[in-house]
Amino acid sequence: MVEHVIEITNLTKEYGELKAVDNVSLNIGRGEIFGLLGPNGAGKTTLIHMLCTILRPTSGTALINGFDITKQPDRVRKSLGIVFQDPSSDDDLTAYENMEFHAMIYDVPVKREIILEFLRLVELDERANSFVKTFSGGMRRRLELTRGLLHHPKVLFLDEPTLGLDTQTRHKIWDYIRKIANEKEMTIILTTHYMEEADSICDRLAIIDEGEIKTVGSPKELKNNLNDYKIIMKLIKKHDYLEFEKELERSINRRELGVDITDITITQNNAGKGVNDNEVILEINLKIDNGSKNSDALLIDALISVKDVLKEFKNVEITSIDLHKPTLDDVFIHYTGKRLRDERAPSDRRLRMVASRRKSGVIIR
Amino acid sequence: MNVKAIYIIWLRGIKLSSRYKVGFISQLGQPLLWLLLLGTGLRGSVSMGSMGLTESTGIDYVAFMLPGIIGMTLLFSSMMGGMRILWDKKFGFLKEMMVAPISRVSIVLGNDLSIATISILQGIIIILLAPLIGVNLNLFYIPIALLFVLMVGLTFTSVGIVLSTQIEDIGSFQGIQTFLTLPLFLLSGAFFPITKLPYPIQIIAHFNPLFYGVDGLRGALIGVSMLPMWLDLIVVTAFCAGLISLSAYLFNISEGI
Repeated sequence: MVEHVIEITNLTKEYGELKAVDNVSLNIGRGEIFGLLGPNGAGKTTLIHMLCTILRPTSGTALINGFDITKQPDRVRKSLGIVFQDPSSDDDLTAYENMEFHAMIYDVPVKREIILEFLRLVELDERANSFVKTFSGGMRRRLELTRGLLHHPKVLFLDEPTLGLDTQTRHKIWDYIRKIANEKEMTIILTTHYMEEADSICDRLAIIDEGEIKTVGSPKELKNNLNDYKIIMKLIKKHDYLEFEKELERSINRRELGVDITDITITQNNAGKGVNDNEVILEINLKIDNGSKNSDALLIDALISVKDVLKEFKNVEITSIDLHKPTLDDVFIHYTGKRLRDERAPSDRRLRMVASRRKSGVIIR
Repeated sequence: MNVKAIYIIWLRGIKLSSRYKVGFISQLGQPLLWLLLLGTGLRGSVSMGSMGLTESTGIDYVAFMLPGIIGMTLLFSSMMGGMRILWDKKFGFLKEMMVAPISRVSIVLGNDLSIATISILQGIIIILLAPLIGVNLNLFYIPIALLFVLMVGLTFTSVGIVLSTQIEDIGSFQGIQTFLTLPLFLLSGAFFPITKLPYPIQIIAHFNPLFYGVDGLRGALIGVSMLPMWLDLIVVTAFCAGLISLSAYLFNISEGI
């Protein structure tokens, strides 16, 4: 049986009418790197804030490292580390002093070598005595990351650890996180907006929207379950061809592709400048049997068959071919919809206001 | 609540204050100017008889004003100090403290004590400078005077923290702080005995913790007070305990981080 470091049961947070987190239940195993994905305002940060005992749940609870977040917040806090989305270090202290404060307050021995060791991990040991206010965003994030590790937490929360950082820094930060997860057997729960990052680093993911968990699984499972492959071709008709679209669709459907066709669309290409009037886009949606080991080979076979079909059509030239396998982006869109999140901005802002004005439902100690 | 956590928060506060030497000196410079320029100017103009004191006590106006000036310094610097929680909220460091395995009460008390420490230091400096401007103090009662300084400092730091928990932005904080400090100061008897005020206003002044603080300081430092010193001390201590509890309670239930 897998040992669960985090057991969330029916966790709910309401702000008046608004359910920021709605009846979430979830188990996370020891040593897992677990990702929480969701659009802005989906409830990720609220969930994390409840788990690290800054917000009190409206109902439900969670066990972290065996301690109840509503009944033993002090014990919970001792077993977790957190890197917040917004800065949380003291500008007017040096990097070293920030670390020292953290060590003291978490009751771990304050030893110069140990603190410098942790700063070295994120390549900040040479800036140990600089004031944090002189740090760039990336340096600050690295400091907060290593600070979160200083007291050897069993669980590390990372809320958007790479948001707003340049690519080099992002890679560095993920490298540290991987290294730490391996070396220290720490359970890591992170939120991010960068799907490729979540894909490459997380063992499992949950997609959250409107306070609910829409789906949970490993990145591979989620993509396989979506099972939506595409062959996209651009074609040019050299002469007018009566009922070309219908003909083509019929021919492809007749052909044995070895995979299931779910949809074929053929449209005039209107995108871009100087587009040839005769250019059309052929898009074939496919499902590939989940049991098959080699989906790539099947996809290529299907492509070759489609090419063969096109040979029957004289005077039609293929100008580009795209093969599309499901990505985490697709999974994300599938579960959270295509709606622009900016439309929700006013209600998000309302939520923030409610959150900051509200004086009830708060944590003691 | 535990002592070590309070100490850590206190230590951090002292470190921050020690980096703002300019602030420390300007907070100290202002009352000294009041004392030197206004006090010595009025020394010859104000008859102590009109202040309710007989000439025979040998107390001049500067001596009368000194405890009031200490009270004023405590009021301003402690209230300002209470703003630290608001800064920490703004710049995010409060979150680091909130997720740490320490109680919220220790965060309040640690901040309280570190700000009060700085206020006390300022009080001591003014007391030490007193002989230089010709004020003779009761040396025996200086420990009692420092007790008053501590209580007044903690009282107004707590008022600052109470404001920090209720106000979201720094501009409003400063506005409200100014709005509060002026009447507190004018109704404290710092520059003139409150008996000179109309009766209803005198009544109001009795709800002002600074009135008891200044009266007690005056009793301890120059041996003149309206109320018995022990009564002043009891009232100031009660205000102090009440406001510390209120600030801890409000901080405890505040959620806006």
